[in-house]
Amino acid sequence: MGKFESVDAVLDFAIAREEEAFDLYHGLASRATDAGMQALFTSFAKVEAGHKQKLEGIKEGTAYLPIREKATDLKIADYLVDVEPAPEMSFQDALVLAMKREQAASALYTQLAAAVGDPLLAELFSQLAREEAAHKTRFEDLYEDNFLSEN
Amino acid sequence: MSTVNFILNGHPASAEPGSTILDAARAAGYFIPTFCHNEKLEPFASCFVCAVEVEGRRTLVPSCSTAVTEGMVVNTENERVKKARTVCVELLLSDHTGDCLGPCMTTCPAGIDIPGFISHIANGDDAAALELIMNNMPLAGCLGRVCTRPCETACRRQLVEEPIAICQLKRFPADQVEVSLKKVPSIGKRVAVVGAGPAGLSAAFFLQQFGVDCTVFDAHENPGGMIRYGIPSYRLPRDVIDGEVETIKQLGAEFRFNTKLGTDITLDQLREEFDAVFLGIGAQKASSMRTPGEELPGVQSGIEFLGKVSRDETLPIGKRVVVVGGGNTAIDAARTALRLGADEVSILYRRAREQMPAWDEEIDAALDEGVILETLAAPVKIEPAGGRLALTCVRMELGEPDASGRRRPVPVDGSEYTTDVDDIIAAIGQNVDASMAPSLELTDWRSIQADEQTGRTSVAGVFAGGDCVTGADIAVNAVAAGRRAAFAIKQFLTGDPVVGDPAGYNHSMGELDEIDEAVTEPFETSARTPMPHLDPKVRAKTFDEVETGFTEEQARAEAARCMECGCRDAHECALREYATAFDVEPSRFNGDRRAYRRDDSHPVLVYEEHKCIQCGSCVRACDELLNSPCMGFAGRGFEARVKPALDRAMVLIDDEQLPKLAEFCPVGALTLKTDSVATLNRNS
Repeated sequence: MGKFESVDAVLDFAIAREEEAFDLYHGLASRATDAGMQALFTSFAKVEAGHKQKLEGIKEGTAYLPIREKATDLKIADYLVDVEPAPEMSFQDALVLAMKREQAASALYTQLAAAVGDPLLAELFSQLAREEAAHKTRFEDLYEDNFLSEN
Repeated sequence: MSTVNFILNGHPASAEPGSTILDAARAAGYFIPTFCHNEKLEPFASCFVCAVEVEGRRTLVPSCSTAVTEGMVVNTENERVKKARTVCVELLLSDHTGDCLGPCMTTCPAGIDIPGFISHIANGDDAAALELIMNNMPLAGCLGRVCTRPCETACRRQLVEEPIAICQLKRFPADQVEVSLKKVPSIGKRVAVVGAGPAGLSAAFFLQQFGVDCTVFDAHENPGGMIRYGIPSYRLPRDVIDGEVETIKQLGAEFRFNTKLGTDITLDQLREEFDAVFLGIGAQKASSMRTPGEELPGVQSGIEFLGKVSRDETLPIGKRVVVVGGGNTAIDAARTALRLGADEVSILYRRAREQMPAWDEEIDAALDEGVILETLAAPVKIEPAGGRLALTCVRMELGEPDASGRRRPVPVDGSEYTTDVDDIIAAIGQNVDASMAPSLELTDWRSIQADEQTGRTSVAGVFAGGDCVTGADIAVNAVAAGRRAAFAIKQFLTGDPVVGDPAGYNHSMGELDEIDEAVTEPFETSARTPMPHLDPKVRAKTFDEVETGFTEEQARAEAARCMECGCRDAHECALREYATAFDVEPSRFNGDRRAYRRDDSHPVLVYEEHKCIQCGSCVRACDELLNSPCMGFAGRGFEARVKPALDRAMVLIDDEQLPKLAEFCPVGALTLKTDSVATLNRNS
């Protein structure tokens, strides 16, 4: 785990992941032909940009990660088939994509927390994992309201 | 001097000497509201709603009792006057107790005059009942069978024992009376209606009655949309749909089936060929479970399954069937699977029964027929299993309440189980496929963006309503949207302001828990008439209609239970008329409401003191015309009330002329019992 020798290195890693997510949604928004899906992807991209900004604030010492209680995990993402990102994807698939990405990020940070030796960095990874889990819950709530209302 | 010359709203005017401003202004064509003024009576100037401005006078003056004088400058329509009138009406409403329309009627999305049609049924006039229903809804027989009855949730009869069987009563006249409507002469305008479901049929029905020629396009081979392809025939026999569509054809609508928007015709084409377009294309795209194995043969959506059975009620089905979902489509699919011959049909639902969106009565009916309900379980995987399907499910439990207080279902770790089944039907919801009309603006939820009151979309001349706007919803909302859009389309075609069919002001005594006990006190308990139905064991094997309909005796008895909420004078009441016209804010001066006090002891006349606005017209009529002291003022100030002489019951007043007072009351405080709540051919 030589890669993560400092808090800044961890935050840089997390910031890069938010940038990747921003790029993905921004790209989907610019390629989507449906105006509604353009708006949806743009809103996803904005959310990721917000996360990045928050992490940058933490790095600069002007912000803190919120203290999050472990939220109820609805585990909706666990049981859905994977979807490939595509500009013509449906609202439902876009939500599946988003919740699965947040789930993967949370899982990754959880693994890193376990693997990193420094307890301070381990705690930071755990906080990041909880943060991503909270993001996933937000998409799962949206999915449940829209696509599991009769299920 | 033979005439008096004065200035009225900036224009020279003249009047007979001695004329009041009210008479002179009305003669010149200006509208001035009044409550206490009656041409048969001396001016009284108590209500002040007729106030006008006379230049040079500090305060407004009552026009009913102020004579026009030479050179007077009168303003009857400026902002000061309008504000004063509005405040006057708001003050009268501040302590008014009563309902303009019954709560059932205001809760019905289609605004059907429910107390009215039920009154006709009670009186044995089924034709009038049906005519009244059809003022707002063309599909009385269909909706009388499948409506989810929001009206009954508001019915005050439940304060006595149970709500009136409004929906089932609506079916009764539709089953009894053969409708024959005359074609209305064409106004020379053509409208394309896309979708022959409840919204489109409703739009076409009302547009034809406005003289607009409709061509109805539908992708299916028969009309009805979701009520044919999403509701099984044991709940809604097809001849009922066909009969009601026939009426719309009689009115002149032309139908073109097997014609799909986006494939066979385009919105641009329709917009060019027709003067306007109404889209009622529904929400018929089934939601996918996104469960692994969903694409395997033997797995299908509820709407696909019901559509297939709608075309062929002998469709083969496996022995063990699982239906996923908790809505009405899931229940319909399960009961249909039983009728096709499945040995075991289960409904799998990820939450608890109390959270099922399906109608409780339908769930009970399914259970009676032998459907198994498996709650708090969700599918997670489907795999092939030697010609059958291995369905893996996980047990669920309700999690801790979230920020909104909802307890969402959460999988229980390690609770997976697998069972072999023959068919899986996923009935987990439907959504709108708006790709067939790509030029339209959509909502965030991918339905068509349309104005709620008019159905106007982002494209001029294109209107939309029903499920394609709201997402999958109840049929009565679609019928209502089709009607509102028909009004708006007619306005659009004739160059009038496009406003739809706005509802007038409605005063209400409040929610069920706010109703004075005195309202229900006169009614004796009388149980709701249960709908006769086929025996569960027999019906589960056939597609015969389960609910067989009320007998005549049952219908009349059930109709007689109606409390006739709503005002007999709702369509003529001056207070309601002005409240609507002035767009009042009734809660601006919230005060203590008058106590409910209804006296219907008299054989002909009803006095509802709580509705009286103290205009004194009845008191003056007694004094000036009838020469009888039967009504008078009692008390002073805010406590003043108009009461029968010596505060006796009306029946004890020995005066044959008493019923004549009803014509002097500008609101519904004094009404005749012969004034039924039923009002044919008058829109609210």
